[in-house]
Amino acid sequence: MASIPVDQDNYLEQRVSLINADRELRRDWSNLQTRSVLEKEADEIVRSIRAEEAASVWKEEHPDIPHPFPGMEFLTGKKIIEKTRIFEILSQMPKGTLLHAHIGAMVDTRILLDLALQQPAIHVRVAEVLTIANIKSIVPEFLPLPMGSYNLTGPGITASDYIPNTWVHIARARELFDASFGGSEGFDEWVINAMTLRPDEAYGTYNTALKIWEKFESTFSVSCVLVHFLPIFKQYLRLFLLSSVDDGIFYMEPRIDFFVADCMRGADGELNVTHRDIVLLFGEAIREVKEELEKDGRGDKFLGARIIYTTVKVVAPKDLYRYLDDCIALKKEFPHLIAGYDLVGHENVLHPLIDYIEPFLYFRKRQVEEGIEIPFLFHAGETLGDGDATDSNVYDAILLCTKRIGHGFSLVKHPKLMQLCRERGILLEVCPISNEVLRLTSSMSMHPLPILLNNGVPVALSSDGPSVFGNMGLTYDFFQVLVASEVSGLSTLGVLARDSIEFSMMTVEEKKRALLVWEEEWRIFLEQIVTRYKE
Amino acid sequence: MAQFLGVDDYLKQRDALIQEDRSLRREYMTAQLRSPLEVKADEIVRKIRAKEAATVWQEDHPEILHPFPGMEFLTGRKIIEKTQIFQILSKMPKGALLHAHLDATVNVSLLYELALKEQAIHVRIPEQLTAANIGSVLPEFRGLPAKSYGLDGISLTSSAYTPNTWVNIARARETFDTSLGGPEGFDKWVLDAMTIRPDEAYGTHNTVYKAAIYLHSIWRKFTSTFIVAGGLTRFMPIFKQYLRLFFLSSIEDGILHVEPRINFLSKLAIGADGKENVTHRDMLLIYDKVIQEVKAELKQRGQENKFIGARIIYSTIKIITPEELNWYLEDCIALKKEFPHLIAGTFRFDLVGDENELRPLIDYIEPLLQFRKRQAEEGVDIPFILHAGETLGDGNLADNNMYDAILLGTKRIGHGFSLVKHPKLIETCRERGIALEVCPISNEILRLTSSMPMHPLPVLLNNGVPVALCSDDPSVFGNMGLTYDFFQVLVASEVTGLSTLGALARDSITFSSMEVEEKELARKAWEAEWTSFLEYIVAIA
Repeated sequence: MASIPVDQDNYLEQRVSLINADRELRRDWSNLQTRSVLEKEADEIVRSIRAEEAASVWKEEHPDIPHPFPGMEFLTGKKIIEKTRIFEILSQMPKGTLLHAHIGAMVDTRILLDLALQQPAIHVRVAEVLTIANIKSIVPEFLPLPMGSYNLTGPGITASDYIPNTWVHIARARELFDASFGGSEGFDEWVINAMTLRPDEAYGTYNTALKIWEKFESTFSVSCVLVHFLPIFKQYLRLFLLSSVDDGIFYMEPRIDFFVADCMRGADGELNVTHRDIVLLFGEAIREVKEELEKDGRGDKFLGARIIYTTVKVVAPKDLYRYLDDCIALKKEFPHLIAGYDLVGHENVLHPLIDYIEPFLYFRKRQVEEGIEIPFLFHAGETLGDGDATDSNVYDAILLCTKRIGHGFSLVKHPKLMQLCRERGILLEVCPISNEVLRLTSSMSMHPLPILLNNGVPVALSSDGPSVFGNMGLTYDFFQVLVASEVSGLSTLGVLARDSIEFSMMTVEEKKRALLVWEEEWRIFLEQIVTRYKE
Repeated sequence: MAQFLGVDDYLKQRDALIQEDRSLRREYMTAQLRSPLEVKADEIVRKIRAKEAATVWQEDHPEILHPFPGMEFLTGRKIIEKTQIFQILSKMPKGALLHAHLDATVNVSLLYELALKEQAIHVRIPEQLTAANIGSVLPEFRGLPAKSYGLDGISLTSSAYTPNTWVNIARARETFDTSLGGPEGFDKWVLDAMTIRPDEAYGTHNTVYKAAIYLHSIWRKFTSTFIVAGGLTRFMPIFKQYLRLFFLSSIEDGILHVEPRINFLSKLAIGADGKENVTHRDMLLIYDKVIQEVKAELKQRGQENKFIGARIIYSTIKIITPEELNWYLEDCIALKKEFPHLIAGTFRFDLVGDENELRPLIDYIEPLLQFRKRQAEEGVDIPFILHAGETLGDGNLADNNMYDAILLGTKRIGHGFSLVKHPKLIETCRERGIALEVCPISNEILRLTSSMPMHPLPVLLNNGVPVALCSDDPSVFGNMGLTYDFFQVLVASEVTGLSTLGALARDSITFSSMEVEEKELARKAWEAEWTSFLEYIVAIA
């Protein structure tokens, strides 16, 4: 038997060194020894508020919420979360950067619908007349039509004389929406439901990691056409950037899918928007938002954005070359706007990375020839599988020298790969709420994040598809992480935010500036906590 | 970027990386030494598993909304039993059962049958049973002395019933009101009180968190099943038959050695005369006797290799104060001295309490250190075999029990569910050979994980932590034997195969508390059974 301590003092001493040895890989560990007195005080205040709320807000009876607890199912617990002081505090926190977010799901669906309602070109249709019986299962199909095809007359989609699959102008369809379905508001609710995940869907009808994707993908198919209408897209980008800034995010790297972007339609309703146009538009949106913020004296609140060029994995390996060439061409023309390359989509059913190995090797070769570098920022391991093709994607992502891993949910199963991530500095873009709503974990307490943190794997928290899940900004995700652990504290969140800057695709100079800006904001944030919340 | 000469080179490097990632797995070291027979059987099982994932698990099942391999056990059990994988695994030699609470090891119907045959067994309730309260009022059982028998007592369902009056169990059953289902209604009421139903685990009691307002936490229900069954097993005539049934049913499932935890919180149990005067020593004498009887029986049938033996892990409950613990520690030392071959180790602290709620190990540090000293003085060695980390907490008291268990030199860890969060402790377990007693179905029903694919077991296996699969409280959960737990593990991973299960079974022998010679015997017996098992698989393919 290993030597068991002889007396209590000796025991307690050994206990402290064991706990320290167990936590020394954590990226917030060295920070704990060097953090300022101010940070220590703020961290303690937040810990005591967290403990107090765990015993009060989270123990109260809430109608319709049978088992409330900190870190619970997000869609059910959101209302309680918003009542807490921890949430209030975190909404003020400087979050750093947003590294994992899909452009099609970044603006609140209510706002997207309002944008669509203002467009004369946007029309809607359904495959059969909407009735009480089918309204839950039928989703709207949208399309911007060319001016000559506008349909501003005719029956609404709830009228018995509606001819299935006839396009009706969106605002007209809304006005004519039958009172028995709630009238115009009923229309809004129907459309928004089709673009979001409801608790009864995530935790009932579609409650497995495979089934939930049916509904998840359906939300995209509804919103996709609206987002990919150029007049909307322009405003959408602006709103995405501004709302992120409002939540304390000062730089973002959204993934834009250029396979999906092939369905982008211009103001005339035609498929005539090139990928180059989209990147140009993105650059313009950045410039406009920067100018606007600088005018308000808030220039430091937004440092820029880049695009992660993505292709959905439905593209066959032999058809990928075209997108890779396209990505190279865009990188050459807009080196400051293209951050990297990724493949996206439902990992459990689509092609594993290994299927694309030939085009990837080609891609690297072409980059060398062109003298450019487009890092891989692969999605991998967004699965419950153990040793299946999806889980094995983490091997390929790392062998292909990905700079970061999107999700990497299954990484914790792989001791060697965790070591490589720690040693080579491969960051995981962890999306706590997305993982829970998409049923990889039942609540935050079951999420493997503590394993990653204790193993010193760099992590940035991300929102993934906030318009679908309702976790707009990053406050909700930071909240879930903070309340589900007693090891993690405010200082941990600070380290996660810093790492989101460190592991972004900003240039060295940009990062240097970003860190300076962030440290200043962080200090102000800590001061606010101490002033406002000290008992 | 690493350089690849081409696709072939890439695939070579990929294979090397995967091998390296898995090199810590305990079955990996022997993978190259596998017999052609085992390789073949493993492949057959993988094929059947893949086929069933695409057939049985994809079919529509009435009342089972989302079937998938490794799903919620209480809902999926009916499907599990239909599979060929289950049939195969029920024949597998499982090795040793290292984590089970004696009071929850025999099918509740059998326990109930035993009780009905005992005239001494009586039941009482704190209020008359009605349709309104039958879901919440629990039966309390006790063996009484003959002079107190209530053979013609008033029905529990009658308005004339005086609360807390003892009524003979058979009488209570016969007089159970027809509006509550008559005698069958009584049966159902008693059995429900000793098991967890799917609607409780996944509905009304669906959270591990317990507090004053969580009247319906899963632990509350879990605890109540023990109180009900405990009233019956504390009665020695039942205890004796219960032990026999436990050993025999385990043997039938391919288990050759058991180390149940016995809760010695009550200082005295109840004898055939209804008197509360049976000491722990008396209980151990009974235990020893039953082992000998079962062994003799098997020997007569020429099956002595099916049962190597049984030990006891002395346990009590964490509700006691650190001072009270001293009595139990001395009791344990005395028993170990008299029955060195029966006491395997000590201390389950939290039998009827959730680790998240009761005192942490650190509170008991003084008596526990004292215990080590006393053992040295007495010249005995009673290793700790501690429960720890049966929690979702991260850095809370229950999670921190992991540190104490390891510092105290625990020989194995009961559950250790939160170990995966601790890189240093994982390394310690691997290097010092501390095995984890992992209870997959228990963890899922007690809501630490929602299904087997979410269970952290693969993290442990890939890190080379020794693991033995265990059933914990099978009478409550319905996972009798070890077949169900082996099943859940096999179907929820594509890395794990039959060879992995073999390695787990071997480790259950290696990390048991058997003596060196016994282990040798057990290993030999197991290897022979394993070979016939593999032959059986190859023959059915």
